[in-house]
Amino acid sequence: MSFAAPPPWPILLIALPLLAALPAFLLPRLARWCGLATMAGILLLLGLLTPLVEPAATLHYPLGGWPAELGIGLAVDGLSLWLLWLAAVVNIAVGLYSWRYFPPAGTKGGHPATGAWFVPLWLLLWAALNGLLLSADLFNLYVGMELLGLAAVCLVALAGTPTARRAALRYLLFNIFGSFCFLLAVVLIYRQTASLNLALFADLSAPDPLINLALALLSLGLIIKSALFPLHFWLPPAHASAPAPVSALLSALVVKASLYLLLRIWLPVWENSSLELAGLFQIFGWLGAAAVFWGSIQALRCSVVKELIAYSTVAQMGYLFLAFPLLAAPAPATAVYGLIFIIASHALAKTALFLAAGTAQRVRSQRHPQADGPLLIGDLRGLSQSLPLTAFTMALGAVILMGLPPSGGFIGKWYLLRAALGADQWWWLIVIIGGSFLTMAYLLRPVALTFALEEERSGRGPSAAEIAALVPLRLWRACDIEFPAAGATPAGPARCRTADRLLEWPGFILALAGIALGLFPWLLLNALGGGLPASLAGGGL
Amino acid sequence: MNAALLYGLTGLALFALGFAALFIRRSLLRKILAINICGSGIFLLMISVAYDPAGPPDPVLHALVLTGIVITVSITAFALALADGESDRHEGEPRPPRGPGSEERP
Repeated sequence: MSFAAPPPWPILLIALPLLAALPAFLLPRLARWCGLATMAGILLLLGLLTPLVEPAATLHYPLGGWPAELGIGLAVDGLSLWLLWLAAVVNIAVGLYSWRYFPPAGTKGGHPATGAWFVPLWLLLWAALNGLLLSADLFNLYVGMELLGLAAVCLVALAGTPTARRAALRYLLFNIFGSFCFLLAVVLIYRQTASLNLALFADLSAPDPLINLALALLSLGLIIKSALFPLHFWLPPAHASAPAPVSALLSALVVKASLYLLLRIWLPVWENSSLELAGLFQIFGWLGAAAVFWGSIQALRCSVVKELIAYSTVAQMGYLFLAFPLLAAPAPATAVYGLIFIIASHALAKTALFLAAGTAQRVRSQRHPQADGPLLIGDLRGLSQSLPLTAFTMALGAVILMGLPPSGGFIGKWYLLRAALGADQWWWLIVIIGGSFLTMAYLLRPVALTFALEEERSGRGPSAAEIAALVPLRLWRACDIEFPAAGATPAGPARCRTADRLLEWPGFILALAGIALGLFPWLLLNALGGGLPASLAGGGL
Repeated sequence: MNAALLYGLTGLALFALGFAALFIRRSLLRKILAINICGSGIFLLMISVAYDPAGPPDPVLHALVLTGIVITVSITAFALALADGESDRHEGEPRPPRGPGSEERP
């Protein structure tokens, strides 16, 4: 037996958070240290793994040294590496944020146990995510999806309110149903091909009714999990009623994982087989377009901040499905570039928005202990005075989601537009541009309110020029953080420093990263393995 | 029609029944049962696929069924716990979640 095996970084990426979750669960006092050690360890592992991934090749890691036909394999290419980094960045920001968000033991406002539960579940979620992104085996993917779903549902139920439990149960049932569709498809595929390795999708040739049924079931299961339009109903209640760090993880990463699998399965089939897929991909696109409009219109009707952000997730997931019909463009890499930029910028922006909403809610409940209940859009009034950095984070997140130029969202939409023009499918232009205007409509409302004066209950909002003049001032004020000396009088509403740095900065840094993604897209992409699945990476634009 | 095909079709029928019940039924307990019936249908199908008239059955699928059963049992337990908390709390205060280490704190 030879030990010329590739270095074990991929398997450690899954094992580390999984193993860290156990002591975090058993010894809640050490939970934070487990979280911190996992963050550092995963960054180190990703740093070691990144140089090993060639731009146009897949790095295979056979578990236990078994060959691919027999054993369960892991595989990394540019696409999975990109998403692994994204998951790491979002998870680290959310992990740090959660330290302050969940009140420490012995304080009012939330049960002390909630924070102790969060860390192990969050580490499990991270392990499952890494597992899904790395696995090259269909049954392993099923197990990963169940683990991800269970961790996600537990995290939603952490909120403890009856609404959250109801939403969690609903989320659980439909998630499981999606997983079962996937499992049924796996069985059918195994029956026909006697293989469970993802590589089998490149060899599907002759149309076979059972394989077609299996592909349909796979897509149905994954579409339920990624909340595409007619099957999105479980998402808004679950994401809106979960604690803010959890909503951030669910919106940024969990729904993306199933979309990633959909891409992993359909890309090789589309590239290699003789199946006629243009019609099916058009259906994906139309459902995505419906999601963009339906999610945006629902978001416009919301008065609760987190519901608005959750419906915005439904709309933005629709954008991602637009990439499927656009694969027909002469350079399919264009559509995939659009997809990966929108995935990343949406994840960063949505996390920033949810974290900012959580901070605003936390500070409100500190200042007005009698005001429980969800944070309404009206409660954001005056946020730029009380929490300037949080208000600025929200504005940046909104800019990224709208797809305004210096942001990752703009780059993603630009590539989708190019792909739509290249594929001679002009009708998607209406969806892409119209969706951006709708995003603007529903996000400008809360963002503009943050600039309104707190005292001024009724009256016009500030004009655009006033907002523009205020932004540098707010930012400057946000940076000079001062803490009142012990025993000082509580800060008044005008100069309020009640929010901890850990509640404000993680979201802000993620929002900045979303902007940086638009300023230096190639720098980041090339540094992290090119971002394309191995089969497409050779083609270029 | 051989036995394996019969079992396989029964499995698919069970899956379809569970699928229908999940979307039609309102009661939570029925929905949880529906999910279990879905799962059982798939496991039956898996076992029928593993059947090989010429030799011993395919061990890969048996391993998968075992894993699947373990997952389904834990999910059912969790769903029942969630549904139970739901029915407890028609009136009154939300019960605080019990957590690790909650007893050692004041």
